[in-house]
Amino acid sequence: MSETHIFANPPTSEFEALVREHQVGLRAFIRALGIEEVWVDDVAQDAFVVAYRRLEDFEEGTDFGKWLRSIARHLVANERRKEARRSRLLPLAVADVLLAHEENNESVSLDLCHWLSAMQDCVSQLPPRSQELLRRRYAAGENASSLARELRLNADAVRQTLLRVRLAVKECIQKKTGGAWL
Amino acid sequence: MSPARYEELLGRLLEQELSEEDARELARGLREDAALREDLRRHLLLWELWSQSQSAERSAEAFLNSFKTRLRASDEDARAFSDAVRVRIKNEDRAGQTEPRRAGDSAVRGGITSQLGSLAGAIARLRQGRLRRPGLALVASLGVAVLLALAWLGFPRSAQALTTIRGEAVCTACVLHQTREHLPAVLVIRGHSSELYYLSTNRATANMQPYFCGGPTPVVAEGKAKQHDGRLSFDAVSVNIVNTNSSQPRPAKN
Repeated sequence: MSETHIFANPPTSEFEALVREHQVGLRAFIRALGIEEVWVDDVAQDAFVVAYRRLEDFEEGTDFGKWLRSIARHLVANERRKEARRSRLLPLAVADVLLAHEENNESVSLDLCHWLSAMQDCVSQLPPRSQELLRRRYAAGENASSLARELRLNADAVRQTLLRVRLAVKECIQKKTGGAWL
Repeated sequence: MSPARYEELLGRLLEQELSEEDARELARGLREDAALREDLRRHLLLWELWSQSQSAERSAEAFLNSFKTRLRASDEDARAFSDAVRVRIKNEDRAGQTEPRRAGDSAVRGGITSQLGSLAGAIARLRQGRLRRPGLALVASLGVAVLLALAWLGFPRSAQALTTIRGEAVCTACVLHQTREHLPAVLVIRGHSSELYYLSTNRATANMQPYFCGGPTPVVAEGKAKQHDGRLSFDAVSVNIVNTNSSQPRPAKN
């Protein structure tokens, strides 16, 4: 592959297609590696930029998603080593455990559309108030504390309610998929 | 760790409200129990997927746009940087000055331009791996920083007159993911280089954050540019979001 192609700007349509295809799974993977919710997209973009720069290292015919995940894993491991940038990680003790045990999940394939579809079904079965809470939490990006302030509720109560909703959704998905998990 | 305690800590973790002490306790539980680790991983994956599907700012299109912007921003290498400075100096020379230039300005700028060129070459070689001594990279980078400061000081005062910038309206949080705070900025692309202007908060930028968070969106801004704490800022008197669906831009005046 020529250098001109590698550094083409804007990226080639082929690479754009790869970004579209892999961005959902890569972001989910990065989150599970222990990156804070608000920094997931940032790290994922870093990974795509690195992949774009190093396209010549990618072995054609092999799994591009797996290659991307290995880049992301390196980025997160580097994050752990950089004192100044630790804010992108979950609390370190937890991030360390997630990163240390991540290799066990190497072979997991993410059937993301399937899971998202199951999740949408499960959320639609929730009471309207719970659905609204999830909408505000995830579509509007408010966390439990800010929701509590707006709803004039105790932050612990909001956190507990959100947790109960999450557990209910997860259980519902588990039933729908017959235990075949992510 | 009891299931109730795990769930309590899980709830706090997912709300980014886990203390360091709680984190250590949760980590101990996770280390000892593979089932808990798997449960946490599933929650992280599931709710990340949900977040992506629910938030417009995290859509596939928004992600792709942000990636393109990031790629352009990272394309700025030493050669492009020196090119941009040369273009600026050339534009200044062409435009003519409203104030008499100080004696020696041309010589200073000429020297700076020449030095930037050679430094750019050195940095480019470093980037290509021909020179691998980190000390050299540091010296070269510091050299560029010093010369940038000299170049800035070498500009005549007319550089502070009203100028127009054209670029992409971007939010430093939602689009560039560089800051936690949502700051409006304009990314100006010049060939292979780019410059990021942080917009000052004023009447011209008031109520325009949605355009920046929904960016990159074409924008034209008029105002005064300055450099502060190593970054470019722009005090806009007008900001026009270019409406791609109509020929008329939507203006906001200071």
